[in-house]
Amino acid sequence: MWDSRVAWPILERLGRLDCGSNPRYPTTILHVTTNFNEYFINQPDMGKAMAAKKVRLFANIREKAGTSEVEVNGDTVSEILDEIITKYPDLEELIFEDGKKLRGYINILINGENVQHLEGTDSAITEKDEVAIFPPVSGG
Amino acid sequence: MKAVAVIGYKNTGKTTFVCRLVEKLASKGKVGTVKIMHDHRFDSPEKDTGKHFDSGAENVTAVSEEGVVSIQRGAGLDEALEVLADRGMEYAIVEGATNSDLPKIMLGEMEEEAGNVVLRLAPCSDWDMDEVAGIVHQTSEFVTLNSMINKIRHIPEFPLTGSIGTFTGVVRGETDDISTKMLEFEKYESVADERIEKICNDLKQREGIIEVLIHHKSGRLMRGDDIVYIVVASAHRQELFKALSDAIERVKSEVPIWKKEVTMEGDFWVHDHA
Repeated sequence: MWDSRVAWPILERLGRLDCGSNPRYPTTILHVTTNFNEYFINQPDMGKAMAAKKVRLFANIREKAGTSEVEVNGDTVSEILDEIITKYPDLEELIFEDGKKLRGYINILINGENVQHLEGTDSAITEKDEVAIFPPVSGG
Repeated sequence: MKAVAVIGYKNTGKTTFVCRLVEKLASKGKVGTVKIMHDHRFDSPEKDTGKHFDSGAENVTAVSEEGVVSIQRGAGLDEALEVLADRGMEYAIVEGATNSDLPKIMLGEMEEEAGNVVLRLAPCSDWDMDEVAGIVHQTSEFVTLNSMINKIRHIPEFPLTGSIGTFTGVVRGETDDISTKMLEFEKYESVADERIEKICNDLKQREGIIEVLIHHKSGRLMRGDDIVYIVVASAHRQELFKALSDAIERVKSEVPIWKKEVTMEGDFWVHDHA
């Protein structure tokens, strides 16, 4: 049984206030509770669902994915790469070599900085960061 | 050079608008204008210049106390804009050019689709020229090699310059057995600009290097077209050539730009063959 003072702010944050009537009235606590539990059952990773990260793709990676920008979940580079491969399986052979190892010539930038100068694939990503994935450059 | 086109049907006030914009921008930098004319002969066949032209001259130039008028056979808007950029104009305002890919200011409504309209205004109004100038400043630059050299000639440190060197990257048409039709360049704009600025600033730390300018085009470029311009100004020639050489090597290895080659046999991203 959840006190509405506990459930209300949590549900508010999750953006899921499926209360049928005015949730201020204690009589709706049960209704809220039911939805709250159902919500947890149906949305196992809802903590991450909040923070979709934008990742920009370039060159043949962009062509293979069919889009220049993807939105995925994940708090580290590793996690978002896994999500990207799940959503766009054709990218796997471009980005990884055998055994989920990142190909040496693939560049990943966070806000213009190569992750090799940060914590590699363990580098953390927030919603404010701009992530980019691309193959070797060939300008000039 | 910022280049914009002012378009609209007759009597929408285009010429008045252009004149007001010229006045506003002239206080900030040199302004050039281009007027697109249809079915117009510049010099009647009775005039000397008309006779020169009809005799087969490619280019007839009339010089008077007022200035110079050059009639260039077969030239078009691109050449006209290049001339303005080469002469160091900071702004080019074109009256007309609905079908070009210049950023456009449209006066009134138009039935045809005009691409790249950056501002729509009512015809014959009391337009806010400060607002218009602001919009012009946000458009992308029209750059020529000569406009870059011109820019260097006007920097405060120019009197220290003893040599100017340039590098131009060009779309090669034939490589071994491969015939290239065109190249398509894709840029990670913000990061590419930062990396280019860093290359310029790093090179300027060197003894004797006074200024470094780099401009890399993007989009579709045909065989023979220019891809990248690098201009270096140095006090003495000794430091010049290495700076130019290092600049292009760094652009090629550090700047997030990708080249897709379109040949007779098919398309491929250049790094695939690396």
